[in-house]
Amino acid sequence: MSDVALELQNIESGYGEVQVLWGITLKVRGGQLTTIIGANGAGKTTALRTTMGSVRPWSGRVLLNGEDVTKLPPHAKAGRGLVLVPEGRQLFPDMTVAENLEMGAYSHRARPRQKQNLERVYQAFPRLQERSRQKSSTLSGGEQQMVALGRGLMQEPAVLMIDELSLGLAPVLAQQLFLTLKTLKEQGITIVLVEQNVHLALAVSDYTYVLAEGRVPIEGESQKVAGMDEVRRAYLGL
Amino acid sequence: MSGIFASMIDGLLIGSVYGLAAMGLSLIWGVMDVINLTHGAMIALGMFGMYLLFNATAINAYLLLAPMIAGGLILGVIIYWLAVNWVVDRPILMSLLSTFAVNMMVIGIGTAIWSTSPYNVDFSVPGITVGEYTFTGNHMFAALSAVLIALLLEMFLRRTRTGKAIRAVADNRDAAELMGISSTRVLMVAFAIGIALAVASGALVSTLFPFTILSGAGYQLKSFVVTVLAGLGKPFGALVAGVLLGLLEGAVSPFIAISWIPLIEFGLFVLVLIVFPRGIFSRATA
Ligand SMILES: Nc1ncnc2c1ncn2[C@@H]1O[C@H](COP(=O)(O)OP(=O)(O)O)[C@@H](O)[C@H]1O
Ligand SMILES: [Mg+2]
Repeated sequence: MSDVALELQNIESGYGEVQVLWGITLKVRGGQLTTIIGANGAGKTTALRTTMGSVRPWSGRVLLNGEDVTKLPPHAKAGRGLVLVPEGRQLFPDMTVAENLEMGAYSHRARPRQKQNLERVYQAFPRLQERSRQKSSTLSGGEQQMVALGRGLMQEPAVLMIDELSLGLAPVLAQQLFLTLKTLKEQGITIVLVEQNVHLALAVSDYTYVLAEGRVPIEGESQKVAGMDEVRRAYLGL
Repeated sequence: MSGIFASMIDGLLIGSVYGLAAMGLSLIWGVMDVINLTHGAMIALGMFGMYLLFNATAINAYLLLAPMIAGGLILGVIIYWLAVNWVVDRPILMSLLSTFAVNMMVIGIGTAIWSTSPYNVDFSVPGITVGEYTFTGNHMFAALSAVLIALLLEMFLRRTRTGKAIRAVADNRDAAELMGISSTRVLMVAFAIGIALAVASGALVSTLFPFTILSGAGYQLKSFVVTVLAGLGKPFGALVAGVLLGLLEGAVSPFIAISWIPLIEFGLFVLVLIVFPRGIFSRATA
């Protein structure tokens, strides 16, 4: 399982006239946990949204399991198993927790396994089962993050991209979510993680891309990247 | 004494038809942030559609609602692709202009065909007489139909896969796309349902009063009042608010000339906008 599951080739994109990504190339290997680190505003979220198609790429290609999906709209990519747990959760506020999770199983791809996946999610986050009939907007930040992640798991991801897993969460909860990620990886899910806690990101991931001002100046196996002087200084505060 | 009571019952029955019309407007606004100015024209088309269909078939007008709704859905899909799809994410003025243009075309063509003279659907259900007052069967059937359609819509939105997709898109369109929901398809469906509701309410009104091709405008106005009362984007609240508006009309109409009613309604509209900008059913939310 070390084939390339997701590949970005020379992607450029931005908003209106403002260019954010200046030709980034990423290879995400199947079954691995790949992380993208970088300062605020470096373009991490833009990179994930461009991969998904929520932001249109200006040039370059996106390949999912070797298939060119650059021009597909987000819903078509989701239907092929490319899943984004977006920054800021983006739940359906007027829907209950259970309905939010159910929407994750909307696609033809995810529907057959809706029941098993729901059990899996409730097992990982028993809190969500307790609150299943509550509107998602009434949950705490941490619980909402669980719904967002759970909803992503309901989607039967081939590649699971997560934007800011632990942002704003209590350390204990962040730890728990990272453990969940590890389990997911062991189950064979390919994961792309964007995470402001660089220590944790480097510790749990196999491969790291550093994104700075819309370019990728550094990449490598996470252990090696964690040892680089410039990374230690700029991102680990050492 | 019993006059005002009877008048209020009548208002209540008609109000549920107002509510049904407003549900269409409210659904479209709630899902895609488009103020549908074809609304009145669609109500008028519902009236004339019922007129034509009833004259052609001579079967119970309330059974004809089913084909009317089907026709409304098809019409809604056509208008969506002609005039709405390309303005959905543009500034609100674009969709106002675009739907207004469709409105003018429909009214123009309708005037050419039917002129602006009154028509009526010659169908009546026997009423019930209580004491000195008779509640007309048509009023009761129209109200019953409106409530039934409203309940079916609510069940559709709560229970079915497509209904839930509509709610998801209304809640957060970007996130819905991430779930694999084609938001364009969902917007089209929601718009078509909104149009079908307008057509159905027009069809119901045509069994109550005479109408002209211009009659839709008055009901469009009421729909706006009702939608604002209910809070934008709350279809079921619109039904309740419609009933309230009907009750209000029923309560005041024995005492004032009918031509004053729009003035009162618009006064209410402005008042509600000032006092309850989010609708009377919303709690104050930050
Ligand atoms: N919707 C948007 N419209 C315009 N500019 C944006 C938008 N989102 C992000 N940007 C800009 O793009 C740049 C990269 O942002 P982002 O991708 O969110 O970075 P990161 O996720 O790494 O913090 C920033 O300069 C930001 O201001
Ligand atoms: Mg970000």
